[in-house]
Amino acid sequence: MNPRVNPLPTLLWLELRKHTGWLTVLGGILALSLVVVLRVRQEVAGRPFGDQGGLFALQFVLLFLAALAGFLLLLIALGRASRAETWLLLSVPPGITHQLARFIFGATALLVFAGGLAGLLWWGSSAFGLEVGLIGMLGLALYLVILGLPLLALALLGRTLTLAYGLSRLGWLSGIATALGAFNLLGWLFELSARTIYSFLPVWPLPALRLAGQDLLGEVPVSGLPSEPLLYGLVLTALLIGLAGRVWDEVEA
Amino acid sequence: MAAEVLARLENVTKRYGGREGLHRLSLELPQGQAVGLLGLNGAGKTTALKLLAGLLVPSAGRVEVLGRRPRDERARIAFLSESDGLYPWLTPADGERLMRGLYPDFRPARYRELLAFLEVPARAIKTLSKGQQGRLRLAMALAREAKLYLLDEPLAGIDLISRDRILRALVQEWREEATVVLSTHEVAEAEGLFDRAVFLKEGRLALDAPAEDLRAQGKSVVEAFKEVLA
Amino acid sequence: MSIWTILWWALLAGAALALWRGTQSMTAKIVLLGGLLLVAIPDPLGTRAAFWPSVGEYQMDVHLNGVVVESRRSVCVFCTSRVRGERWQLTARFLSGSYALSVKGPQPYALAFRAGRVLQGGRALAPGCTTGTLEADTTFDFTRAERLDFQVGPGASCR
Repeated sequence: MNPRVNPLPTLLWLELRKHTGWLTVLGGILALSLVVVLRVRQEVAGRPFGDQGGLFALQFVLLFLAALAGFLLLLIALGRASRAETWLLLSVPPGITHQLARFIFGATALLVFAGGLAGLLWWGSSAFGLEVGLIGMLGLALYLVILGLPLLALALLGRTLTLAYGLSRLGWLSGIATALGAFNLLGWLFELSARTIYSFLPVWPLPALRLAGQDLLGEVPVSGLPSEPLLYGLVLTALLIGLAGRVWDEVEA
Repeated sequence: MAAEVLARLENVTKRYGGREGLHRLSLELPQGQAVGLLGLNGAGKTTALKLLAGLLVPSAGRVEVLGRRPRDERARIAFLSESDGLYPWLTPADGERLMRGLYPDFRPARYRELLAFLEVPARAIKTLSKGQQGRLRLAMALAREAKLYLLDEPLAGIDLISRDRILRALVQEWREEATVVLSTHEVAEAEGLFDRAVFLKEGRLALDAPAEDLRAQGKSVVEAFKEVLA
Repeated sequence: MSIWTILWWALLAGAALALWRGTQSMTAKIVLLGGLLLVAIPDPLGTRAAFWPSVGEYQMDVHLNGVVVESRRSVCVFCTSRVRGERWQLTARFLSGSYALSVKGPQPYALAFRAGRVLQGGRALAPGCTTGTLEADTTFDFTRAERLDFQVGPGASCR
């Protein structure tokens, strides 16, 4: 390929154009979450401290559901194959570049979405007198995003495998096998993490959490979250993207 | 001196499950030749083109473009597919951006000239007629400086005026050094374009003849087509 | 082997065959067969079934050779408390809590930790290895002590 052409910006632009609708929905979820936090702040203002627990729980649950819905939407958006893929199959950049562009797009969207929700949670918590470290909260969001990356890569691989079974019309079977295999693979990853947490990497710091000057995490036995699962997740992500790239190069259509 | 062979199919069979799409097809495509791949629906034209493009892998036999697997030479192959969908939101300007980033041999100036010549409106694909969509796809394919152009049914389902424009664009854009394989069952309209006619029937090679030879025999490509199908 | 197991395996074998023949992509074949293999043999070494119950094992309040250990408000991650001969050993990846050790006579001890805070009778210990002899009843307070290895009894060491 001509070294003057770097396809990555074009492919990222293509992802952005393809997913404008999905991004709008993600933006809508963030906007709704903002409305929830604003309403909760208004409600909390006049209430005595003892009555605020229910509202805090409600806000937390709604923001958690928003995070879950956004993540699932993103997985579906990345995992959906379209007819226009066939045209892209013969484009000059290799499969790995295509998959990398999709992954970078998905991971960036997830990071921005999670960062937005973390910011809202931080702001929403302050209405209850909770002092949460913003940097620590964003760090926690980043931790969760990194844990979610293998799932994004699995969605990409699953979509490409479906494409590879397009001619034999066995895309549905490859989808089931991918889902079942992924479920077991993540089980292994979880177990490996459980066996080795806090063993060889420094911890990922928890956000500071204080109420009326008292450290709420003082009694927590750990000083942070284990970093080992992040390492395994990143290795698995790289492997899955590599495989998705190879399958892309071998797809018939 | 015989022209260098740019692409070849050697005893290629392609099976889809239990069905055979192509049976032991052998073809050599020299550089600079315009080949008409002719046949009825289901004759194996699209399968042959997709094999040459690298979009299909033969079940048996061998396909080579410039001595390598077609997929490895995709930077030199321009493939216009009848069935591929393009993104419904894509405008001709988006098409230019996409092609510039994905194909180093894409020539934007030529693309714009083609768009103007083919009268493709600057609107999203979903708002274009089938003929306009076909013309846009053709402009995208022809604006590349490829070695091998594979055009699958560029005239199918397209109105007469669009057909005329497409044919004129093809004549105008023909580059001597490029090899073109054009599949169609609109034989009468396209016959003036071919140096050679390859007829497929039920996945098999029925006739492979230079257009000049057919004419020397006092036959048009259309007449030969009718004979083969009879 | 139950009929359901046989059916399940037959189903997986059928799926594997269909997926092997359904594409020309060797990578896709290998990936999906690998996926089905993970489904078919979820615990090939038999270690997974044993691992999870072991996570919850943690026993305290030890009585051994004149040493009595009582734990208070102890919270730990991956703790093991065991007796090896005449020696008591506590290991943990993370430990917060208080341990009161009563000794009838002098007992050698070794305590190693990577980070966090450990107080021995109110005196802070530096991360790393501390060895010595317990002459009287002593309380050890741990706050987020990381990679802890605490041994009391003959042969105690930070090895």
